[in-house]
Amino acid sequence: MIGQPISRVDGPVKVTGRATYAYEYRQDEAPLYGVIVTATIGRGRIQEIDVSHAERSPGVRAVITHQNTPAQGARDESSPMPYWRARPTLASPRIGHYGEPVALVVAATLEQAQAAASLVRIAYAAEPGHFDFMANAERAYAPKQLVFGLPTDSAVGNFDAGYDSAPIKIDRQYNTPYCFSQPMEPNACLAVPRGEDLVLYVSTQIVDAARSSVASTLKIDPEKIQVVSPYVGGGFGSKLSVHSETILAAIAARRLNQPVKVALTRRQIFHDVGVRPTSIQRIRLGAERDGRLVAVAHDATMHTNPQEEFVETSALATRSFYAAPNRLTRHRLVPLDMLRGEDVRAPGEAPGLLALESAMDELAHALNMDPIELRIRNEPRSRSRAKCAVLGTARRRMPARRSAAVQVGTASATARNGARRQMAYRVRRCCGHSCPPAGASESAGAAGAGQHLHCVL
Amino acid sequence: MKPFMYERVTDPRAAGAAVSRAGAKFISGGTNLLDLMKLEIEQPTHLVDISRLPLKQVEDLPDGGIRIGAQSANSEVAADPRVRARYPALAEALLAGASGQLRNKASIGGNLLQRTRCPYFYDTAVACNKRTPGAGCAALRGFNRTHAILGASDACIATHPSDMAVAMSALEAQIDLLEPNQSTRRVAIDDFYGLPGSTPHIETVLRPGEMITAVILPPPPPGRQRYRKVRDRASYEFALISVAVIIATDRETITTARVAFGAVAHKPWRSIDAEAALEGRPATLTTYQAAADAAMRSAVGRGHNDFKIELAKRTLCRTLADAAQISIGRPS
Amino acid sequence: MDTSTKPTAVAVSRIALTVNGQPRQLELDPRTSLLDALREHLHLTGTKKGCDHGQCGACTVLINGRRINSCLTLAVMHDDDDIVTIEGLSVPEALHPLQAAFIERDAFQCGYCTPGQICSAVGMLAEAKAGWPSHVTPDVASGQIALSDAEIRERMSGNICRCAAYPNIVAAIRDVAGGVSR
Repeated sequence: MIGQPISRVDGPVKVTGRATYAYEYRQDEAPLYGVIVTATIGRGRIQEIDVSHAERSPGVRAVITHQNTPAQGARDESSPMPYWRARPTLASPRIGHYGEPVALVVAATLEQAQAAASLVRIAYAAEPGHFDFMANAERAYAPKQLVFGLPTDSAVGNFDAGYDSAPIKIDRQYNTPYCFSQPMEPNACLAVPRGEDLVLYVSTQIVDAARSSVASTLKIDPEKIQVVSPYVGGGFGSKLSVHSETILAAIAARRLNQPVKVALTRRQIFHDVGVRPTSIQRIRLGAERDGRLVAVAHDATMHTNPQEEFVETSALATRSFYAAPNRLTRHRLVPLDMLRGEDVRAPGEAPGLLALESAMDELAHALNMDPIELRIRNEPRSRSRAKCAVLGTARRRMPARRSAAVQVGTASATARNGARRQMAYRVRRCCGHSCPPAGASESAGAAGAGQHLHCVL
Repeated sequence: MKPFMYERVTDPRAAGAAVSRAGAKFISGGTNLLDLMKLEIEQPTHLVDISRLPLKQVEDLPDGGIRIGAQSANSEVAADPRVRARYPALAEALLAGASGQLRNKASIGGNLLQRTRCPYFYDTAVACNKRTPGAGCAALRGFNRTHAILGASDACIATHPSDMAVAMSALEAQIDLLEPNQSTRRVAIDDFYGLPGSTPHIETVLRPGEMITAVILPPPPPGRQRYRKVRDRASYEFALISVAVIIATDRETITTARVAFGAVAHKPWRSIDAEAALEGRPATLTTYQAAADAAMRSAVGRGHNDFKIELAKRTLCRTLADAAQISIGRPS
Repeated sequence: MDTSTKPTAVAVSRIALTVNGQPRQLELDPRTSLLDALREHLHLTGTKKGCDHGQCGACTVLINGRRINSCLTLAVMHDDDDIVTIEGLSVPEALHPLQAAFIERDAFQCGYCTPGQICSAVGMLAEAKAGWPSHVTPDVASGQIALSDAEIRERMSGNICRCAAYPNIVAAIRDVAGGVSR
């Protein structure tokens, strides 16, 4: 950073174990412990749910299911900010994906709640579902829009004509896996009722969103909710929205008029906290023989859960990354009965720029050109004429980076593109750009986005 | 976790008596048993803690062998100078397993008895003949990437996850057992484990209430010992393939050899076929490849684990070459 | 100490152990892990629950000087044992050298793995000092252990950090180990 090195102000409490995370707050009144029970079918409905054994289990104070949750606010997909939306939980007997919550068992101790959770008996009517992404890729459809109202597709010039005319063509497909945030601290909430008010000690990345989401879910005035979250044990996207542990802790606390705390187990996080969609990223690059891009197309196809559509904006950065006269981007969704998508670290950019930059490196290799030189060749001189966002001052420092890169690779470069043999593998010099999601629109572009990661391998 | 009674015993006699109750189980380090109890895969009603029994010694034996108390910690045995000097494959195998914290807690006896990590065994919502005899095996048509290629059956394709047991198999370990009536017996490690057949819920020859008291290793055979573990990550992960070899050469001829594989079967897989293809032959890549082919002759892939067959062969060749300290030359 | 609600119809075990130098008596459901005994009964929440199945190391404490995952052991198994948690590593006047090194080297971000990392490192350094080899030690029979970065990484492989502070964690441990670097 700027100036003198400085130790983190939260350092002493973190290294001495005195930083308090959501599950760890201590109240005057001892909390009750909630344990979530999750569905073991991929798709279908709960036919019958028998909680009598669980309710009779030692220490159990309540078993909450879709049969006795209070009326909850509906999730408003039209509101622009997803993290502020309601998250109705245990609101229906439908199972939309494996691992969806089906019950909350609340008991005096954690061990009692865990033991009682295994006594909840559920009969499911399982339905055939779609689970295999590749096998279902043909069912892809175009969503109405991306996040924040951005258009699903974009077009500059005429990609097909430009690509056809390009002497050098690169057409590559990159498949990216499901990917989870999985921070070290499991999602957790301690809900403390105070008369009409509710205090939530919750691990969240946006306290205001947590409050709004709980308020609209439970139909409470947000002014009556206080959210406390000074320390979060990692989020990486998984704590932008509230999840079932928060809603269920709040419901249970209000019903029992006692503090209730609930944490997801590590397994449950894989099943109930959203995932980066698996995807196919297809990049087509058309270039002149001197490396100047004529046409760029980025087709991003990814899975979505049909009940809760989520589009990862993988091709968004491509819209303004390189100044080719013909550019095309598309986002398509394949409905699968799998866990819904949510933001995971570097949403959009991570799979999208991986694909774009890998394809650019393939282009450099095809041209027998240094990959950095290829990028420099494609820098626009005028941002407005190119309709391309220039990503801050960092990109103008390309020549300096080139010399640094050459220093790094100098000893073993045997070809212009840095290819060399190491053991039995061919090692190539590669290069990648990244940018934060700072309003990558077609026009002028984000001057403030000075963050620019430029890696040379 | 289901409720249970807990008691700690300090004398083997009391241990035998305590574990004779229905639903009673021994616990020592607990690093496998508690993992399974939290998921209610194991549901003992009575835990008999044998971790404080005086069975923690590593002792030299008059014949040049070594006796390892069943309650010794994995990490202590791996660090023992006698084990490191005379049974380096055993030290290497122990150090390749788990994490520092787990090695400190897990006992030698517990390592032998640990159960498979098959993800379907671990998922109480799917069919598993090990958990529920007759229920079926979900791994057969499931994601069976880490499953067995040898000795399996259509009832179960699980593997034994231990590294230590593989080295012990190559070293021809014997296992000392104590029954509740205080009678003792000694079983060779190869005979201690069973193949799944139609009864995968039966994993060892242990009789009810029988306790492992020690592992006996005969004097180390001649030659260099190596344990090699191949896995997706560099540490803290189970093997895709592992191999323990002991190879002695006279000039460039192999005089004696021992070969055992891990992560290929329901038990550590001692390969007499590989050994027969090595002994008396020149210590060359050609010989190693022939031994590898012999070892994997009856190997069967289940769809996602077909790669294990070739991986096992290559791992054996590399490890033999390493241990024989003769270069195999660059692959073409 | 508050054992607010006594479990019903479950046998309760009574244990006595030493925690951070203090003798403590507990009456517990035998199913209580040592981790939950520390966090929920003794309110020592410095030790963290990351996975509850011995796979992440966030729950690492020192038992009789050895680093152990407290989630995979029962409190009742530790009657008479000496437990040291992150809270017991520093004295009021000063941080433990590893705690100071973690701050100096910025060896954490969210802080959730940090107590486990530090306790594990304390245990690890004792093991290395006792001459214990590791999976990356070239010759297990050799008595000499040099704590290179590769050795530190292998020995600390039981502690996961999702914020990826690993390079700084290795640096902090290296500082305290005073051993051979790189």
